[in-house]
Amino acid sequence: MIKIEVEHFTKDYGFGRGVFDISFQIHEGEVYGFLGPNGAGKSTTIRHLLGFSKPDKGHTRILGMETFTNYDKFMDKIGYLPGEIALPEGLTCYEFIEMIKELKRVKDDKYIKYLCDLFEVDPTGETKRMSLGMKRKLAIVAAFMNDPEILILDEPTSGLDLKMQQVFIDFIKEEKERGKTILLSSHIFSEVDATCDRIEIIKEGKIVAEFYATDLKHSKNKKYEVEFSSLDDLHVFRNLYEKSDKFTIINQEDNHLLININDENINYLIKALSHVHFRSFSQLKETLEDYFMKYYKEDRDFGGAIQWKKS
Amino acid sequence: MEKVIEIKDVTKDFGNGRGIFDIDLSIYKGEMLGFIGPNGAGKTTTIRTIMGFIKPDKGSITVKGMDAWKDSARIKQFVGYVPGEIGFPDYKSGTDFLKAIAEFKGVKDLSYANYLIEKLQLDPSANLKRMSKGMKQKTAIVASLLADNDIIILDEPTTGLDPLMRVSFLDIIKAEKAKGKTIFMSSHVYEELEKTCDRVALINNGRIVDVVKLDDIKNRKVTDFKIEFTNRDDYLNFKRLNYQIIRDQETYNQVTITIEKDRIKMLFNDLTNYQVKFIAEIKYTLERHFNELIRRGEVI
Amino acid sequence: MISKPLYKQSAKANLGTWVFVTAINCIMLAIIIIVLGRLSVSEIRDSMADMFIRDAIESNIEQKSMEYYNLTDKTLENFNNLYDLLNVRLNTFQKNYIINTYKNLLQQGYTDEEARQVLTNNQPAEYQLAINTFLNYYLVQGEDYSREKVSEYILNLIAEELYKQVLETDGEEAAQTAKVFISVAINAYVNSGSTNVTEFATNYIPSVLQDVFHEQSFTNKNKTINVSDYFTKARIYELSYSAIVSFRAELEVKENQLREKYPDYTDEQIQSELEKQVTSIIQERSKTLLDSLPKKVSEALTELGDMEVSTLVIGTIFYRISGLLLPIIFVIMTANNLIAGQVDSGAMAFVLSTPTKRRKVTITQMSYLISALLVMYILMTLTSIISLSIVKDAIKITYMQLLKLNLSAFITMLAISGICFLSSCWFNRSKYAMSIGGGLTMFFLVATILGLFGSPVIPSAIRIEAMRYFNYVSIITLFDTNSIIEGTNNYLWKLLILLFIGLITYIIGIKRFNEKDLPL
Repeated sequence: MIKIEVEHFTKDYGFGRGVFDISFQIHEGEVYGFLGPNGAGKSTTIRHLLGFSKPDKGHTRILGMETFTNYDKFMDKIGYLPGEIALPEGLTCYEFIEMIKELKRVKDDKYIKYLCDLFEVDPTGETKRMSLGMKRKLAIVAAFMNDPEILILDEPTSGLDLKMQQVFIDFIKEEKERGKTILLSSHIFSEVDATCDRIEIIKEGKIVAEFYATDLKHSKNKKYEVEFSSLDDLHVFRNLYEKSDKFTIINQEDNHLLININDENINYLIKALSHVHFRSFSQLKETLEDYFMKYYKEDRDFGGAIQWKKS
Repeated sequence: MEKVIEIKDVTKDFGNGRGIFDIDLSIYKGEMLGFIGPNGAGKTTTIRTIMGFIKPDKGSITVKGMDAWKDSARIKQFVGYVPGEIGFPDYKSGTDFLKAIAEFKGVKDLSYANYLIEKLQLDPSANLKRMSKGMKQKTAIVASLLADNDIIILDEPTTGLDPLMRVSFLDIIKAEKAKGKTIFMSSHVYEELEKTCDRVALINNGRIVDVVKLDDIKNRKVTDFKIEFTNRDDYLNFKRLNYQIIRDQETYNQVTITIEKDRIKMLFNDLTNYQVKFIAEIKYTLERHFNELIRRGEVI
Repeated sequence: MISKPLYKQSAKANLGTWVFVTAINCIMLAIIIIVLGRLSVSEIRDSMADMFIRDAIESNIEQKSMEYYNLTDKTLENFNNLYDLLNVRLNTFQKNYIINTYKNLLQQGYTDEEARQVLTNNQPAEYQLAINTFLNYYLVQGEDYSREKVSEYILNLIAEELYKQVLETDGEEAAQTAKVFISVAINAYVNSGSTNVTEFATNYIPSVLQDVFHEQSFTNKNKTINVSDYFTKARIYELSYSAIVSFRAELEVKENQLREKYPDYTDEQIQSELEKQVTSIIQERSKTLLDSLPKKVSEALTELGDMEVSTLVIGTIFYRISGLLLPIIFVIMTANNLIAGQVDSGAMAFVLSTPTKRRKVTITQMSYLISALLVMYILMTLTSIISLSIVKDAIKITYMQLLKLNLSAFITMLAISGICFLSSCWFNRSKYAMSIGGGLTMFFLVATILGLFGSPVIPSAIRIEAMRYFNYVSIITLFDTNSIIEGTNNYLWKLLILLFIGLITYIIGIKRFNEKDLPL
């Protein structure tokens, strides 16, 4: 069942900024990751999903309802954690929690207490003098107190210390176990890596990649780097297996060869290597970060394509 | 090699077990030393003693032979510093602030500053108070580097930067290192230190746990491989060979072994007799190194 | 339609400012009313007015005394002369001779004129006059030469003369008054047996005027003023007497000056010169305080005496300006905090990430703002009423006026709060919301202050007429304090306009917030 849907959504803020014709669907029980640098369009998309803004073109829907006009109908089922936390004025922590509790019509105090304990939130403080981390933890409690079936998280761990980051990630994993639908927007690879099922990479308002996390982690496609004992040994190997269909030689550097191979053919490579002299064998793991950088590398070489206003 | 920064036997006790205790650390000329540890471990405190912001209860810190506390003002003249928490003095815009820093440090030529501004994609004309965290961070970075000081001290400099800017920043630092600068950088992101540092110090609970040379980490003589077999027999038979097995997952017919790199050929020779499903290398990283140390409670 | 938790938060967040503004405003109001009352500013004003009235009456008494004295003096002199002519100059024998001769001449067919010609022929001038005068008398009164008869005759003669004279210059009524007055005066003179006209007049006039003036009253600005409230009979007598005495002295001095100047003038010539100067001497001696001051100053003082200071201060200056200032600041800040400030900071995201419609948010915030203002003005009304009851009649302002002032101020603030609220709903950045909404409001206030300098409420000495054009650019002008103080109903339709402005701005604000994109 589709919980969150974005269909040919466009919002143009001018100067090339905005979101252009993006579409994706998030199913029940999925954790969907939005990955991209600042200004790519992550927050814009989220803003529209929450009904804060109206799309120029296309649709943003939650639980099948158009968001700009129906936000009040599904808000009680959503937990939203904004990217920058600004708390309403003049309240103590406790009063803030009470206010959100009333606004969200939450009846279950026990769950709120559980969240406060889990995230080490001390309700007696004043919101004015809180550190960023404390504010974020408070916002986490506010977001989840209604035990929402849909979580929308915008850079949720920024400002949290390492320990709390881990607590949070564990919490998300648990929510996932409970069948919640989660949209996580971030530029911290480790947290996306740790939690997401599917990941979408956004660049300049467009989706440039969408894939399953497992594809990356447990990719059946592997890259190995082999260091041969001598250049001759390398040439021998190369001549023998250049044309092989079982694996591909991607690159050569001194007496190193970079090989791309699918797991099903690994035995073939093992046998091949057993016949030659090589000094070392290591795997080049592609991390999420590496994968991500691929989409940005070209632009970095050309001096960066992210728009910013010159003074 | 010349010691640029020398921390000898330094202790600063804040009570309740918080603080830094018996810190010994030396940073050599032209070296980049990384500093890593969990939050509250003492990284910022250590850096503050070097900068002369706090006075140690005991021990001494010298920078280029000068006492960090007594000669703190002089020392600041040739140190570029990015603090852990950015709080700017009362200037209107980033440009005003950077110009003031340049003037304070006697820098007339702002071309390097402009280069940095370009590379970090910073718009410094923005109002200081209204800058986002990332922009503030970038401004602080430019401020710390524009004077082309010999010594650069950075306290978690990449917080608030998105991944692209982080890469740009690391490029900048690598370039600085290539110029022969002495750099001391703290972080809680292992990869950053791995990519840039010569040595890394691990601090935990206010004490230095270990100082490693990155070369040693990267060029370890041993490595780990996770091997999964397609059938149980192969799995069991392989296990009987005398490889050092550090993890065994029977359900998946998987073993993880530690092996010296020069014995890999031998491993491959053995593996030709089995049906391997996949072979993956579990790299030894800085993070793994330190986690093990912390887990084992080892202190040097 | 109102979100209770949001309302509570708004109340909490803005409580400090609200308490501060309300407390200071109430304290100011109480102090103003009580101080005005205690200071008896009205008394000061009243005594100033009093002083002017007293001064005016005094000068009037003096002026009248001198005029009447002059008149009486001359007339009685005239009387004496005539009496002299009639009854003294000619002895009985001469009188009989004249009558008989006249009769004979008439019998012989002479006309009256011819007969007089014959009788006065070759007589010295004074005799000629005496003969004619006597003949006139005889023709009217016959041969009764008693003192009473002669006096009566002369009295009538003089009275008629005077009547004709005054009729020409001052009309029927004045002529009649003069005739009566002189008749009474002459009678009194005759009855007094006095021969010294000057002495008689000097004593007679004050005694007459003291009665006349004491009964007098006149109206000044809808108030009846009795002379007897200010002066006793004795005092009037004193004033009159001393005015006359100094007048006489001055005349003497002037006379000597004239003689010196024109040594060869006859007595008559000197007298006629003197006569010319009498009017200016009288005016000079009976000048009021105000007359002796430069015109602008006397005008200013007169106005000052007229001003109802307390209603000016309370009505216009307080309720329209200093009493609105702090609530305006409250409204500017609070309207911003309620919407734009929260959008700007991002706090609005929390509220809108709950099942709360935007419209509910705006209506709740609007309700808070309006209710905060309402309570503020209720408290101010109570304060003003209580303060007034303490000083009671010392200030000329009624409870009803106070009620109207407070109500009007509240409705003015409703309109202003609507403008600020609209600005807050329209803009996403605090700084725009506050500069536009707040800027416009401040402009209105400043324009009102400037406009005040041109209003008739300010005394003319300080007023700058041209300034009143500023009133046309401020909606605060629709708060018509003058109308309320004067008791007219003009202020009502203006309040309706203000109410309408408030309504429209709130509605537009709510609608706009509902439809726009929010950068949260």
